[in-house]
Amino acid sequence: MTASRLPPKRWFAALKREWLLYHLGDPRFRFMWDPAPENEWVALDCETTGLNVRTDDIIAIGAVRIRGNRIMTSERLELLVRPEKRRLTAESVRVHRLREQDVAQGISADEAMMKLMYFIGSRPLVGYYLEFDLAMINRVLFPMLGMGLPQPKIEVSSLYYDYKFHQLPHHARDSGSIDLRFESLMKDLNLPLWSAHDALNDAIMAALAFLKLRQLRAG
Amino acid sequence: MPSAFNFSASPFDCLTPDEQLLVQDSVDIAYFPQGATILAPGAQPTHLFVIIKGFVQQFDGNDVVTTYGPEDCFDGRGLMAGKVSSRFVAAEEVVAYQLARQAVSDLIAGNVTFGALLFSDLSNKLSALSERQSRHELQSLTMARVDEAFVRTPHFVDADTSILDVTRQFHSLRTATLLVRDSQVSPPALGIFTLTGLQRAILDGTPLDRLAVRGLTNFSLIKVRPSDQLGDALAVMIKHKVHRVVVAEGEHITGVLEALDLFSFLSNHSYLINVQILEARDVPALQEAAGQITRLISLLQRSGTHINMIARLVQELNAKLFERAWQLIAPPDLVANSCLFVMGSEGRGEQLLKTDQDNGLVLRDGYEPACDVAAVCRQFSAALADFGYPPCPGNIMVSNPQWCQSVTDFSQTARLWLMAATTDGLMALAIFLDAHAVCGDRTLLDKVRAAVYDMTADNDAMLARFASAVNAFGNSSAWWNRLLFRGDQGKEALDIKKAGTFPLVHGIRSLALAHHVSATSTVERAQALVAAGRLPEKLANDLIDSLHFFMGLKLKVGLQQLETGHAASDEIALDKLSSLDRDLLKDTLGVVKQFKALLNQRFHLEAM
Repeated sequence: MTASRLPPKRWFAALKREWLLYHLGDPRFRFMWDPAPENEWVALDCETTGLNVRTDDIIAIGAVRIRGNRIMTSERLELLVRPEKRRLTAESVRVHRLREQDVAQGISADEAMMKLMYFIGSRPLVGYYLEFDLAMINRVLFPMLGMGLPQPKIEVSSLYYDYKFHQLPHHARDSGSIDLRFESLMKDLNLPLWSAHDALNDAIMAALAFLKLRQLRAG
Repeated sequence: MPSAFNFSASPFDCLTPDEQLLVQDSVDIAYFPQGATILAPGAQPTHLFVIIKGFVQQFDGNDVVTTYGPEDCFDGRGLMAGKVSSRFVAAEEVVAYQLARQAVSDLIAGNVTFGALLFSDLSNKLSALSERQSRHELQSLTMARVDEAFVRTPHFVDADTSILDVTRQFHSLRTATLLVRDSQVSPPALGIFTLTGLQRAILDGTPLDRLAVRGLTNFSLIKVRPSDQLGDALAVMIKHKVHRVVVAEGEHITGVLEALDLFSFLSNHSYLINVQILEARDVPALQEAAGQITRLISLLQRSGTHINMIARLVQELNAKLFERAWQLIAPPDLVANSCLFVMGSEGRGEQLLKTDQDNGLVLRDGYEPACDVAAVCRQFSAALADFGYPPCPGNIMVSNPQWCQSVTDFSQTARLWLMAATTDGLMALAIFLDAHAVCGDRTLLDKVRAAVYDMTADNDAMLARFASAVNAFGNSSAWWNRLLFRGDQGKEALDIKKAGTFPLVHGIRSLALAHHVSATSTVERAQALVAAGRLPEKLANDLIDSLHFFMGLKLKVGLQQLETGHAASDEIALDKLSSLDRDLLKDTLGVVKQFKALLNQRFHLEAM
């Protein structure tokens, strides 16, 4: 394919892809740069030992594929991860209800990343405050790949922000009054709430919010 | 969410843990914006949908057939047939689980109840349900309280009484058990002497008029409390190898529970009420039995007995009760020269809890009563009111002279109902068509009924006017949909009589009148109409099942109302229904709608 025939934006993306593939540490993961299946996404959420992306560890990953208007819970990914360095704090156990003996049954972070990458394939990622989850994931991934997850990212909270922003009258648009907390967002969108802080539940709820916001934007 | 799938909603509540796991692994979640078509006719269904949030409407052509809400599932029938035959549209934004077809087939293959509840037509659904209930049947009967069973009145004798006198007591009291008081010991002792003790008394050799009962009395009484469960009482009898126990609350003895009575209660409780009615010597004794009937219904309902059985039993018991009351109140020559009958739901045998007394009396032509018939009738109506049957608001009872006439006069009155064709007249005619004789010469009633049938022969205009009452309360299905569509179930109640029972019963009654079917119960009428080729068999079966469902629902709600101290009414609070009952209610109202369409066509009611 000759780059000169593409429009500038696509040309830049193609260049970036080539550059990343060239630097890819492990050629087994080239599939992440394949063209994504039409109308498919992966919603993702992690539970961690705490909120510090440098010192805390992932203990659970929940991911689910979205196909068209369906959330494929029958093809879900649920991983329990053994933390590498950090012990669980009482506070974090209260949040996600995973105890030391629970996560001790988990797999290693490296193994979890392999499974996650195969599960995602080249599908765009969907999540709520995805930035945090990706920072946690990429820290583990960097030594393996030499880079973080390359797939396009869709942030549910910013989709929601855009949607609410356009609904507001002009004079109210700078007040910053849009409530972006997850529970408020789900309630405002009139979507069902399942118990939070379970990685898979959170991923599914983010997926639902994504489907609805996508619909609202199209309609 | 697999982890949050609601396994307590029908039909998923009958799954085993392994089957629940299968569901969790095969379920996806789908999102549909408002107005989206979820399934279209002709499509090949791949999933069963279970609604999490939102409402779905099912369309046949442009008609809304029904509405599905949270926890309802669709389209089981389409999934089974491999083809969708209706259009399913999101009436409101919908989030739904979708369960893969393969998983559904596996569940059906492994779990008969699940399959029946999900796919079958109405009657299979209901019989699957009663099968589920029947497992609890005996269990719940044995959980009835001791004082709900037939506890015999205790009779006491002194320990000094001779065996001869004790035997005389056995004979005169028609009992086999006496409680013996011994006040010579301190503290005074209480024992029991039974018919079997008599053998030992004879073998003793002492002349029986000189043998005191004391020496043959068993002074270690085995007691149960009135609040104990019957199952426990039975266990006590088996453990101590006795055939009777004393029922006592502390030191106060309230009666004796015989093993035979306990067994007959568990097997055939109604037999005992029957005995009570037949042995009643006055009206107050009957009142006692009348109270027992309501208790029996409640017990049978809880134990999962089929509603049809309960209704038949209650009709028989009520008829016995009315007959006995009439015999006690009316002089014998009046009884012999008249026919007492009940009408309306009581006449059809579809009455469960006591409601208005609808009854009448036909007198033999030319009979000159020696007594004041009006006064006797008033007394009878008052007695029924004491039994708990409130006077009829429409005054359709023997105490009203219009409902107490000779054969000729009665036939004349019926002719006027027909000719004038006023709403009241047609209503009176409808109620009279259900008349069921309970006492006296039933040929008198048959004569009046024959006169009515003669007048209606081939009078199509009159039949149409009569049948048109099925449309009196509007279209129930539309109402139901509007209700669900608003999603405002909390404050709404459905009048089950207007929406379901009345159009069904009256429709069958109209067809029965048109085709001269003389049966009075809806079930018998429907069966006779099928035999005569006037009603499709499938529809008739669905109608019978629907009627029984309405009766069952009304009974369930009515008993709850009675327990909370309210009068039983036809109002059903929709938010209190289980998802299965709501599902069945939708199905049955759909059957009524289908039947009304047939009636409108048969009697050309659109033209009216």
